[in-house]
Amino acid sequence: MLSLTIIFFITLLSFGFGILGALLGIGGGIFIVPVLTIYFDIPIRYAIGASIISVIATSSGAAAAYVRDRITNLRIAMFLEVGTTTGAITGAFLAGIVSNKILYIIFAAIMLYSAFMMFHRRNQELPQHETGHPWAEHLKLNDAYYDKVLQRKVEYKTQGVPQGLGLMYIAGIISGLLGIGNGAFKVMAMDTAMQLPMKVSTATSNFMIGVTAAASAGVYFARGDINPEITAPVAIGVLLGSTVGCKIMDRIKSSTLRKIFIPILLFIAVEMFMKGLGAQ
Amino acid sequence: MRTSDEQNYKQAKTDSRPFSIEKFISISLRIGVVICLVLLLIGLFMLIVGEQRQLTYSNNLIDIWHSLIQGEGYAIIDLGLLVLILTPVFRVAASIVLFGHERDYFYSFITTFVLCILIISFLLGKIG
Repeated sequence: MLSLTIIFFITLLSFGFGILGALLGIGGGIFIVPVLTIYFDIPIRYAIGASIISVIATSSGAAAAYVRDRITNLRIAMFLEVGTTTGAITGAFLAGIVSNKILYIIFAAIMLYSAFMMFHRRNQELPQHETGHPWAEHLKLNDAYYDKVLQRKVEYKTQGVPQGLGLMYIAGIISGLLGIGNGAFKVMAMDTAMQLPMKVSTATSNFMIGVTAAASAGVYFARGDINPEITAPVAIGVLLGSTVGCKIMDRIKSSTLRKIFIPILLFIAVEMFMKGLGAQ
Repeated sequence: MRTSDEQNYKQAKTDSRPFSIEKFISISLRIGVVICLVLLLIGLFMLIVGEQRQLTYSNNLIDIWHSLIQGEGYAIIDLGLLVLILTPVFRVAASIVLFGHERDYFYSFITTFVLCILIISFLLGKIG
């Protein structure tokens, strides 16, 4: 049985990850797994089990508010899920054929590149496009939300629909092969290829990661990797944190969100690069 | 100015229709999350105040059910986590019906496709 102090600190840290996850559309596995294993001495399989649950908690905790406020674009999420889920299955079949070492390094390079692209557009508040991609019209992917900071309705026209779908397929393959949630990659694809407002990108990514994580959670559950006394404080912390994250989203600008995202991308790039060097 | 603008927009976007996909998904997610939170808090509380027994938690549904009847903290946590895991699955399944209700059959089809792939990958047990 974990001590009360440890349970308290795990909850507190998870609260922070929940805020980040809700704001940035990432699952937070990249932070939770190392923190649990290094600082709390928790076995890696329980740490991964808890991180899978934390992805679902971030997603479902934030989605109630984001879907209601239409910051999450349900149609874009569903359409892109076609890419991520089929990609994940492809990835599962590619396991053993592609070297994980090379994959980690390619992934690190993509994250580095997208950090650079985001830095380039760091002061851009909203994308300006008169028309969307022809597919966007047919698929009803152009929409609007009310931005509480700008105090106006923000209409957006979705660009690069096939590119976005293709990138999601790649994101799915990487998820299937490396067992990572890949929220950062999804945000990058929506931000760079589809040119959605940053808030729409992170909220929609946040919505999507829960669906994929739920599919794998069943497996971890059956395997006994989900330890209740570790996972409960993580889930409680993340659920409460993601609710607070939604409130913060209402108060910050898209450009600020992007500035928070850049160092996270760099951190992931370094982390993945190190894994690439270490992986067999 | 600001509030009237916001109100107008909200009215136009959500409140004018008695029922919308967004509203339904948002409310059902909130219910799922609250149920999960309550179960986790009760379970964790029982684990903390309960006697320090060897933690022999199990992962098949029948065992969890038996432990639930005995009021074991970890089983209540497991139940809470199951509710949490099911929220995204429910959200996808509900979207199929909701898009159909809005006569958006293309998206009903897309969502059905995603649900099928999710089930297949769940059975394969290999999704990331």
